[in-house]
Order: sequence, then C-alpha cells, then structure tokens
Amino acid sequence: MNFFRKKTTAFITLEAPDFLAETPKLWGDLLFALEGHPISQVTLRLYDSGDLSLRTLSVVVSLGLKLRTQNIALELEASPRLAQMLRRLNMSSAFTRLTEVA
Amino acid sequence: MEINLKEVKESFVTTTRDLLQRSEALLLELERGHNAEHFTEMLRAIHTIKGNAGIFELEGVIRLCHAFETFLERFQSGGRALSAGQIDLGLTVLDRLRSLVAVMDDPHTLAGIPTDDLIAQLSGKQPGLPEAAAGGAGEPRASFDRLREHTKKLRLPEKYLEVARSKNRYLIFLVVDLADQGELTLAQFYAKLLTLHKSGNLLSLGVLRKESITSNPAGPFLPYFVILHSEAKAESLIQTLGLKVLLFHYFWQPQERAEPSAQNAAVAAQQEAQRDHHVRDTHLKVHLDLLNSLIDITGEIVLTRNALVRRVEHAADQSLNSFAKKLSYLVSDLQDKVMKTRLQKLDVLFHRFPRLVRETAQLTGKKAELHIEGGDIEIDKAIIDEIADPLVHIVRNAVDHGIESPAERAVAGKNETGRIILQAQAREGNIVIRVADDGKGLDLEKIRNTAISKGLISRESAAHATAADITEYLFLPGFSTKSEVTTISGRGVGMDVVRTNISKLGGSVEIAGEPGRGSVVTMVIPQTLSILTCLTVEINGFRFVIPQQNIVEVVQIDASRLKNIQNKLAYELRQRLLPLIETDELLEIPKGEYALPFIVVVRTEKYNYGLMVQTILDTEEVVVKPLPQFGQDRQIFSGAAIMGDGRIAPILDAALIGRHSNLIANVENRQLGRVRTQIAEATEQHLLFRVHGRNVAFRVMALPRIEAIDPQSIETIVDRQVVNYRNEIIPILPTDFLRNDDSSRQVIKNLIILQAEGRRYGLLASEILDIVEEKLVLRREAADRSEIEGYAIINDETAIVLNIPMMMRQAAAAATPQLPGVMV
Repeated sequence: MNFFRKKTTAFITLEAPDFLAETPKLWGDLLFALEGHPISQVTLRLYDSGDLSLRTLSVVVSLGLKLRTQNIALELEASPRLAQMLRRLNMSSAFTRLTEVA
Repeated sequence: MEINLKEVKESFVTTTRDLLQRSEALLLELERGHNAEHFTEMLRAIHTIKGNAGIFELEGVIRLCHAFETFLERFQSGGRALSAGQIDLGLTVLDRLRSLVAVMDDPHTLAGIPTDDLIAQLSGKQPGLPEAAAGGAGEPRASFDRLREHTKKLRLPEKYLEVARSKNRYLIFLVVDLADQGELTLAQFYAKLLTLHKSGNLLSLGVLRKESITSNPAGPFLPYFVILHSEAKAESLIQTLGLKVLLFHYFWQPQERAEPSAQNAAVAAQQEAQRDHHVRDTHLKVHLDLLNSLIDITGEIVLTRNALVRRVEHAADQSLNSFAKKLSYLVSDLQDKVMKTRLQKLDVLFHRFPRLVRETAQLTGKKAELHIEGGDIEIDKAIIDEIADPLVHIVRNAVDHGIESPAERAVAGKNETGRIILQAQAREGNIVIRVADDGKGLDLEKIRNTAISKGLISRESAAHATAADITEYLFLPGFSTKSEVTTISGRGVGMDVVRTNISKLGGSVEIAGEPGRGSVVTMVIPQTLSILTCLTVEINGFRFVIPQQNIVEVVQIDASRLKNIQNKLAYELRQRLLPLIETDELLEIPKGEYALPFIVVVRTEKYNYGLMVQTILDTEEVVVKPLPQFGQDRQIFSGAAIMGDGRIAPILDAALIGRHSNLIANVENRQLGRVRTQIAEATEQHLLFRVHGRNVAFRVMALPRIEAIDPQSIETIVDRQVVNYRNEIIPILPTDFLRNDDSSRQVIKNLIILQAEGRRYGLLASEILDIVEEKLVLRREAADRSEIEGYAIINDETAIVLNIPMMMRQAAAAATPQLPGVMV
C-alpha cells in the first residue's frame, strides 16, 4: 500500500498483494494512512484489479461510508470492469466519485 | 380513503409521548446496571419515533434520534452501565425531543430549538463525554441484533408485494456480510446475482448503509441486502446461491405454502413479530372526550334504569318486571365496563418519579433510590390528573427533607443511599398510595414549636397534643410556607394544599413517622369519581345524598343521650361524645313541622361527627355532576347527583361540612376531648344480675347478649361447665366462689354471652335485675379473690362487682392445654 498527502488530500494506492491481506490489517493500515492532519479528500486507486475479494471490497466500501460521515470525500479509481460491477451492485454511492482507470 | 392528518398527528404526539416516557424509565434503569433488553427496547422506541417523525418531516427529531441511536449502540453490547453524565445527556435528549414534538405545528418555534449541540455531544465531538466516543469491541454482534430487529420492520415497496402476490411466490429479504464471505471475489458474487437477475427474481440490492459499522478496530461490518421473489423457500435458495447469509425474512409467503412449523429461527422470529402485531391491533386509541361523553351517556342510562326499575317494581305485569331486572343487570354490567375505559395504570403517573427522585437527590447532594410497587393498579384518569401534583410534592419532600445526607446517614449507621418506597394498593374500592422513606423521620418537638411560633396553635393546645395531633399540624395552612421550615424536620411543606386537593377527590391523607426511622405519607383515594354509592336523606322535602364511603352508621336518636356542651350539640354514642350538626340549619332549610330523629354518623380523615336528618330514604348509585356556580358558594357540596327519579340532589361533602361548621378536628379539640373523657368515665354501665343468691354486677362496654337457658343444657366436662349454645360449646365462667348456703334454691334461667379476643364465654344468672348507669364507688379488700373487682352499693343493695376480663383470662389460661382436646 502506498500513500502520500498533498495539503488536505490523501492519495492511497492498493495493489496486489495488498488485496490478499487480512481484513483487520488492511482496515488498520488504511485508517493509519489517514491519521494526522485533517484531510478533506481521499483518492484511492485500486491497481491492476480486474477482480478482488469481497472482504477487500467490504473494506474499501466501508471506508467510503466512514469518511462520508466525517464529510471527507473518497474518490475511488478502479478498472472499468470493477467499476461497472460496483455500479450494478449499487455500491458506487459509498464513494464521492467512482472513476474508471485503465 | 382520505387521511385525517389531524388525527394522525395526534396519534403521533401521543405515541411519541408514551415512547419517550418509556425511554426515560429505561434510561434510569440502565443507570443501575447494564441490561441488553432495556437497550434493545429503548433503541426500538427511539427508532420508532425517528420513523414516525419522517412522516411529518421533523428533521430535527430525525437527526437527534439518529444520533441518540448511534450513541446507545456504542453501549449496547459493552456490558457496562451508563455513567451519570451519559444518563444526564440521554435525559436531556429525551426532553429536547419532547420539546420538538410539542411545537411541531409551529415551524418558527420548531426551528428555534437547537439539536446540533446534543448531536455533537452524542457523537463525542464535544468534550465531557469521553466514554461515549469509544466503540465497544462487541459492536458487530450488537449491530447484528439491531439489524435483525430493524430489517424485520422494513416497509418494502408495495410493488414488490404485488409481484410476490401475483406470482404466488415467497418475497424474501436476505442480508449477507460482505466481509465474511471467505475468498469469494466480487466477480463471483456479481455472477451469482446476475443469474438471479436474469431469471427475473431479483428485485433490489445494495449496502445497508445505516447498519454498517466502520468504527470497529477488528474490521468493518458491511451488511448487504438482496430482495427477491422465489418459488423456492429461502433456505434452498441460499443453498443454491452459495452465500453465507446473515439473516433472512419473508415479507410474503404464499398462503398454501405457509408452514407454521418452519424451523428457521428468523422465520419464527418474524412470525412472533406478526403475532405481536396482532396483539397491538386489539387496542384502539380513543379520544378522551369521546370516553368522557360515553361515561356521561352511561350515567344517563343508569339514571333511566333506576327510574324504570322503580316504576316497574310494583307493576302487575310480572314479565315487565323480569325484563326490567334483566335490563338493570345489563346496565350495571355496561356501567362497570364503561367506567373501566377511563381507568389508567398508575404506572402512567409513577414513571416520572424515578427521574424526580434522581434530580432532587442530585440537587440536594443526597443519594436516594426509589422502589415502586403497585404501578399496575388502575385508577380513573381524572383522579390520576388530580393526584399527580400532590404526589410529586410528597415524593420530592421525601428526598429533600426526609432522606439525610450521605454523611448523616453514615453516622446514623444507615446505608448512604436512602430508600423511598412508592406503593399503591387497592382496597375496598379505594386506592391506598404510600410514600415511605427511611430518612430522619418526624421531629415532633420541632413541629410543635414551629406550630406555636407561627401562631397556628396555642401553647396550651400544643402542650396537650399527642403525637398524632402534632403530625396533624403539618396539614395546617401556613405551617410550612416559609423557607425556615427546612430548618426543622422539614416535613409539611405545602401539605395543607396536598390535603385540600386529595379531599376534593373524596380522599384522605395522613402522615406518620418516627425520629430517625423515616416517615410514611398515606393517601386514600377513590378509584373512580363518576358514579358514587350514596345514602339519600331527606329534610322537610329536600333531598341530599351522602357518599357511602364516609358513612359509619345510622343511629336513631335517643333524646336522653343528647348533650349540650358549650352550646354545641353532641350525642353520647357508646360512651363517646359525637359532635352533632343540625343539618337543616346547616343547609338553611325553611323551618317547619318536622323532627330530626336520625343521625348519620360520618367519618373523614379529620372529622367524626353526626348529621341529624329527618328521613333515611335509600342507598343508590348516583351519577356525579359538577355543581353550578351558585352551589359552589356553599362550600359544603362536592357535586350534584341525579337521582333515579330524575330529581337532583346535592352531594354533601363530609370534610367540607366539618370545616364549614367549625367542627374542631381531633387535633385542636382538647377541651371537647376532656369533656368526652369525663363523660365516658362518669357513665359506666353495669349489668346487675342475681346468681347463687347474691346481687352481682360487672362493667359492660357494650350490652352483652342475654339468652334464656334450659339448665339441662349445662354440662360438666371434666372439671368445668360448658353450655351448648347454638351448636357451639361455650365454657361457663365459674362463679362457685359466690355460692352461699341457700343458693341451691336458685334456678339458673339466663345465660349472659360475653366475647373477648374472638372467644365466647358464658356467665350464668338466675335473674337479670337491671342495667345501671352511674359512677360506682368500689370497695375492695386485699384478701379478695382476683375475680372480684370490689363491692358497691347498687340500687340500695350491696353487689359484688366481678372482674370479667380477669375471669376470661383465667378461663382461657385453664382451657388452653386441655379444653380443646376435650371439646373435640
């Protein structure tokens, strides 16, 4: 997992083997990445992920819901396939924006 | 169908009020310790309020409820009690919700009531509530319980139900936890649902966002729902899908397929919920005005019934009489049922006291806990409304002035937390409500001194006052209206108002207590006000009714027992003086050619006196109506009664009459009391009889029964005599010690029946001579037997005066080990 901040925006990237991590670890790492100075936006990119486990997905979606309650925007960048499935499964509303990236 | 928004709104207000009241009680219970059921019930209540508020778009209520729900969830599974600060916050939230709902019709006022402050506190964003901010480790479990409860109550779109009905399929709502599907990938999950979609079974899906938990360190809990209709039951469907399902509900089951014996726990729970739903359907909310008019109409029916029965009573047509009796029975039944409609459980009133006690204790720096008993007793709503303020006053007094500070209690060897018991009991048509505390009790000396210093009683009166009299001072107007009262034992602040209010209901209130051991305030109130059983009396053609609950007895006047003491009329009744009121003068009835031969003896909390009346008519159930303004001026009537024949009769209020007539209550009536004692002492009655050739007498409090007896019925068993009296074996008090030489010629002809402590004894007499009423001068020698009280000159002859109580005691002592066995 990589992450960096620019002013009040945090950028996080997840790629294999991050997707294989246990749910608590992944969840803890993401929260850790967001600690510190207040942020107003998070951009999360899922690299090379044509598919991912439901438990990883649950972490990502939950993060979107959590940040929404704190008025922090979460922009998810994912492959077109992944984005399409998320939209069809009515999960896209967990994010402020769902962007398809190649 | 047109929806009456006003009715819906009233229903919302009433329901919300009840739910908030219940939540308040639950919250206070939670302060004592963690209780998962209480949490669940309160969450349900708040959730219901939130849902209902959505109908009226009460955004503030919705947001506050939501924040409160979230706040409560944090503790639900924590297994720990809420702190005092958290309880305070919860109570404040409930109060704010009350305020919001109260002004829901006024958008301007509504907008002026803030909620953000409380929402911030609930979410832990404001300092002061560190415990509230932390999430518990067991949140997913709690969330699951909540999820199950909430999803049960979901209202699915009507079109889903229509689809299921029309296709005769199960309408299934299932929830999976996305985080708990093993290694299942999104693509696989998507493929499964796509299959459902293609088969046309899928209706809706998505994340249950409100139910998700993102504050759990162990990872998020993300419930995902799927709504579908299916020919197959949920279990087989789940098996086909290959998903790990958290729970499912059927929102529709085809009739012919419904299997009540379904084993699935969720289905069983749902069916149970449906059963609950049916139970709720058996209750209707009825407007109080409608109930009141129903009671009024029933009152009119009762009156008409009474009139009809009276007319038909002597009719020749027996069948008509029979119908009238049947109608009478049915109307009584109707009356009974209708009266019950206005009965409410005392819990409606009692629920507010735990908070009152808590807050009063906080304000006064004390510790107190309240125990409530008998809250399920039902009582007329009108009475509940009337006793609410007095009871608040009494309970607050118990904490404020009854319970000592923790330090004082520790010194006195008591538990630091004072105990207050609020207890209700139903007794013979009345309700007895007690408020008892284990505090400092009543300091009689201080009460006495305060009453003197305030000029409420004379020093002389106070000097003679008994403990009971002194406690009565607490009810004197003005006794405790000043703040200095708290410097005495503190009892009695405004107790005169309490008594006045309770008296208006036809009830009574009294207080008792011991220094250091607490005090008890007892209120006795009628269960209902609308229909009273009364005795009808008449004076010179004017009818009045007296409530049966105040009547002790009716006495025919014996002119020789009328006394005039200090220009006040009294009647000597069983050696006690009963103050009399000439009812015709009281009621300013025109003088005429009539006498007042009867006394109706009435008793109230404060007074015991007789009302002289001309004629006693009947006992009747009357409907109580408020008195017009001109009648209220008299201040001796509690209302008007409509009689069976349609006539109206004022209801005499025994307490008001006592006060109006300046009848001195027992407390202040020292002088009359002394006279009463003197007369009682001076008018001893003695029964003079002859036995064993001697004149013998004994003092009687009430005239004993005297029976003619056949000497053959007297038997000797072992060493004592008994007599068979109406199939009861009664021991004869031995009088052999009175026997003289020629006593054998005396024939026993009479049996005097005496009674003490539930046992009867017989005393044999050959002749009953007289009942004498004079003060006897007794002479007694030291060597005399204990059965002899002394000797006295009665009717110019010497008589032996027996000590009957002593003889009874001796007989009882002798009988205890042997007699029962012999008699059996």
